[in-house]
Amino acid sequence: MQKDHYILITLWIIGTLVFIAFVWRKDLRKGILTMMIFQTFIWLFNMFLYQYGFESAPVRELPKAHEFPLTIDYFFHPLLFSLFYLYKRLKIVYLLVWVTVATAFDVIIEKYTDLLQFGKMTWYLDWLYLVGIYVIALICCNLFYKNNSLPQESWKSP
Amino acid sequence: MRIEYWIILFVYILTTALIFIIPKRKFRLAVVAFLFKQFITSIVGLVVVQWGLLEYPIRLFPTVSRGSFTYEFFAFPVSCAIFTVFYPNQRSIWVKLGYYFTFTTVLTIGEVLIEKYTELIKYIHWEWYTSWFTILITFWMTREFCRWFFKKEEIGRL
Repeated sequence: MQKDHYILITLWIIGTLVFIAFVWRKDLRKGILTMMIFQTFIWLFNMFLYQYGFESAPVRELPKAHEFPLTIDYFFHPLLFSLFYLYKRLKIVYLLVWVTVATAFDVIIEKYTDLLQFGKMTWYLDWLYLVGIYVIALICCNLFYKNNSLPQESWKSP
Repeated sequence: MRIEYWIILFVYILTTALIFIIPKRKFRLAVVAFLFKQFITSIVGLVVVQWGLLEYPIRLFPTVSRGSFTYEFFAFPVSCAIFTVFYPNQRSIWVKLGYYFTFTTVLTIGEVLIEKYTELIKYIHWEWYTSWFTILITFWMTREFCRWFFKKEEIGRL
């Protein structure tokens, strides 16, 4: 096993512990929903990003099946977004600081491991990319939770 | 353009049109079903390709993912959202079983026809009944997830 595989396992362990400590205990349903919404958008946009060579992932979880980093983009970033949403303050500064942390995470992974390689991507493009996904996911989550009164009647059969 | 790309285009149009039959008051349920199904199928779809059980010779984003983006990311989750939204909650067990059977069988027949006559999907170590059972299980998992997700808000039985 390569060094990068140990890093992946470490990410999974840390991620799982953070998930249990900060997401599960706060609001599991909301945590899972926000993660899934973020996953949808990052999955969709990654398709274009990796198709056009902005980033690549030399070391991958399922090397024959995909070219993007599954753990980082499908577990870690959604988890970071979920933490952001569950503990959010309604200030734009908070979002920007949080995205900067997420970008720093990407940049460190890119620099010191083979889990992520920037092609045409730079740290500021990555930052803008993440801001974009955060804003879209945030709008969708807010829309979902704003209509909180709707499901009651939806459970009654028509 | 090859016939396969026309089929993909047709699937996108049909699936998008189907979204509009979802009643507005049940949209949150549809969203949760869609997201959860997408989460399962995206991951499992990649795993079965990694293990060489199936392949998708003609697909969107060919260099990024060897899974089927159209089916796993969009068409299948939407079909599951529709399944969950129109589930016959108040009817007898036989109607419910028939509902499961019909949805699963229709999707399996579609997949088998596409496998037989096009290059969109090729079974390697896979049979039609593997599809049938996996589709059935994912429908059931999604419904159970939705039941759990909306438990707090539940009035009638889902």
